Amino acid sequence: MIYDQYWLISHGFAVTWDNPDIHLERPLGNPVSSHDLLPSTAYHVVARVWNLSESAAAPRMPVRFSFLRFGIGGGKTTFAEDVVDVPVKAAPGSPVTAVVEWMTPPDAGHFCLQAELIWPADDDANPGNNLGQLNADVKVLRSPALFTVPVRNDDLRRRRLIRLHVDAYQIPELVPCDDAASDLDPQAHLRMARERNSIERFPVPAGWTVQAMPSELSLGPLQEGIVIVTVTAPDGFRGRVPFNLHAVDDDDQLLGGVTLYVEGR
Amino acid sequence: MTGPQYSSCVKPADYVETSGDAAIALYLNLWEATDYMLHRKLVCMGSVHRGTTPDGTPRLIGTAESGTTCAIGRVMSFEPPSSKSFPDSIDNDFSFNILLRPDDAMPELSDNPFRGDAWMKKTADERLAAVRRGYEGELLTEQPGTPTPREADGGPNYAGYTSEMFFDTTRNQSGAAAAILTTRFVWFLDGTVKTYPLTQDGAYNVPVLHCECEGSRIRDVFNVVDQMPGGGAGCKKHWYTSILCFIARLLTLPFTLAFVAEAWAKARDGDYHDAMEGNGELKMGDLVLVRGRWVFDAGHKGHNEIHAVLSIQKIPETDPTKPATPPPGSPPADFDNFYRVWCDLADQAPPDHAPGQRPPNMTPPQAETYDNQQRPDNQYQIHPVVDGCAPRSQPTIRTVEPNQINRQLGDTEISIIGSNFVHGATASLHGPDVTVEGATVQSSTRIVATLRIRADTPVGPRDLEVRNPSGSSASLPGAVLIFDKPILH
Repeated sequence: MIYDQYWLISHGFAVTWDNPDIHLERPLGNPVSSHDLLPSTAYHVVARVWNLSESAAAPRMPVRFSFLRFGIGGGKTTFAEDVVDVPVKAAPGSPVTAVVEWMTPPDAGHFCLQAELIWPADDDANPGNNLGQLNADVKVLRSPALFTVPVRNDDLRRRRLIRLHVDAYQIPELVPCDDAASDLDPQAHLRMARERNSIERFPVPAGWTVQAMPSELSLGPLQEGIVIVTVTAPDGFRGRVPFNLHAVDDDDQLLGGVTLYVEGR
Repeated sequence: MTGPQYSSCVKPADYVETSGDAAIALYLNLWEATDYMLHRKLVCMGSVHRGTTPDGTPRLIGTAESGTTCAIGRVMSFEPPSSKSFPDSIDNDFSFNILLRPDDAMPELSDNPFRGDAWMKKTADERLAAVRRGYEGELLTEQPGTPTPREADGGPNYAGYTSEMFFDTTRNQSGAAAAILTTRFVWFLDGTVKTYPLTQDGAYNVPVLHCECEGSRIRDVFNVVDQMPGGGAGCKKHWYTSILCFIARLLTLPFTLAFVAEAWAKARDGDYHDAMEGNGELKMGDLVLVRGRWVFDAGHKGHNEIHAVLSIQKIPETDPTKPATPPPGSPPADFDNFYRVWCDLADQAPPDHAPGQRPPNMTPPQAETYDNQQRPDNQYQIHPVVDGCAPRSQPTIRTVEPNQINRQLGDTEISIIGSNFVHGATASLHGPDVTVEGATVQSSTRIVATLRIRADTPVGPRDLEVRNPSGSSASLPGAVLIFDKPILH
């Protein structure tokens, strides 16, 4: 299992595209931002892999790494694979990390990274939570901050109406274990988790405006459009705020997303 | 998932051969028959562990120490409960047979059609030695103390069960793809592997490890007859109790038969799904890891087997360009490493258990995993950052007030001063005859409690431990000193 935005959203959880299970290091052991990567440079991509099963380990599991051009949609390029031995939940050595080297493409910019856990669906109690995506951008606030986000329709045959949604979700700070109700039944536990991670709890904060132009795109097969996201902060803002841009099609299917960080200095 | 285990096994030295076949006993004394099948016919074989031969070659080694045994092989055949007829169907276990990996090291032992007249049949000892060369061959070989009856020829029992390997792919029971068959089908005692045209007719038997997922019928029938007049272990105590029990059984026979018939009909068939990890089906040719109790079954000539199967996990073979197991001819160390990874990880998993109930008889790796799984920060079901919690920092104990207590004063209230105490924390003193009662967390830095002390409580220092509900704990050696000083009135 990995932090899988598609699975989480389909089950009613808000998500960040700044994946807590995927990061870059250069050199190994020194984490670096996925923003503004150097072209033609070797980075280490690190993915953290969990097991939710208390009884079935996943030895010799391939973890496949791909990159996509920044934005929403777009074909992916698989560049490396690692193999990890994933013990059962909470066993010593858990979680495990998969590490591969990635030579960035020669064109500058930044990219979306995917880590996919390869395991037969029949042998996986939940085959839906095996694809994690890291897709984040950072801009220093210059009142307003402008983000350019390419949006692509990957469908080979179908025109799609793509709608964009914005929220300000970030992973909430964990409650201390001693305060967490440990005797909750599983359904109540899930209900509380959904409440803590619901999109409704994370609207664009008061005093901020976030505008995606256009907020809807009608794109033909393999067509690409550009969305300009304009973020205006309250006067004198200092700090860092994330905004998540999600794209869904006319069938309400999640196409992808990106997390945009605004920094006020 | 953990498959059910209704039966028990006896140590080799405790095995007592039962006169007559179990099927005959079934008619004469149902209690005797079911008790034998349930409690006496399986002989505990201990377990296997990774080791080396005298020449340093990695392989599994048998040990008398009991434990869960792990085997890796390819499913060769099934024996479902529906394949049995009355009265054998009282045993409604689901069985399957696996060809142990790596199969190129499991030598060909009989009936190879390609051998022809030039093939010199091996002696029993030679065949035993041949099986032992296989990395997992120990699972099939007779172990010290194995009781009779054993194989019909009375010789070393290299393999109780065999499955037919067909060269004709349409008849091949392994179900493996032709591409695999051409490279793994014929083994020779010198370790070489040769391929033959798939159109070639013929078959020969290969030794396999028998695995049984227990059904409940024997247990259910035993429970019925054990409760009926004339049943039970007490009947065998004296010659006259045997006669009395026999008469009682005769008199109550119609009722017994009715209850047995009901238990028989309602019994749950053995089902490999009970032990299966994941949602999949088990098919011929699947590469599987099987964990369970390694026993010698003295009930039918005698075979080594895994009975009951506790867990089955399919080993994925999704990419034909990347074999899941080391390919034939790989050095034994490669398979040893493969076995270590799969079986060691599988052995970390605790057995099935009801929530909050600690499974008995866990191995140290299982116990460590179980304890971790019970921690509050590991109760997540979605992802640790979504529905997990943050473990609190460790509590600490700075001092205890008072820290010197005259036992003549009896029960004494103390204050434990420290940090990170959490509501629900418990306190305990290590050492004889002092209990701590009524521990109440007044704040994160103070716990008050009462020490139960009597005039004869042994004097001396005591270590104090505070444990938060999350499981984190702190201790302070010599935190309290019990002393004795007479009180003058």
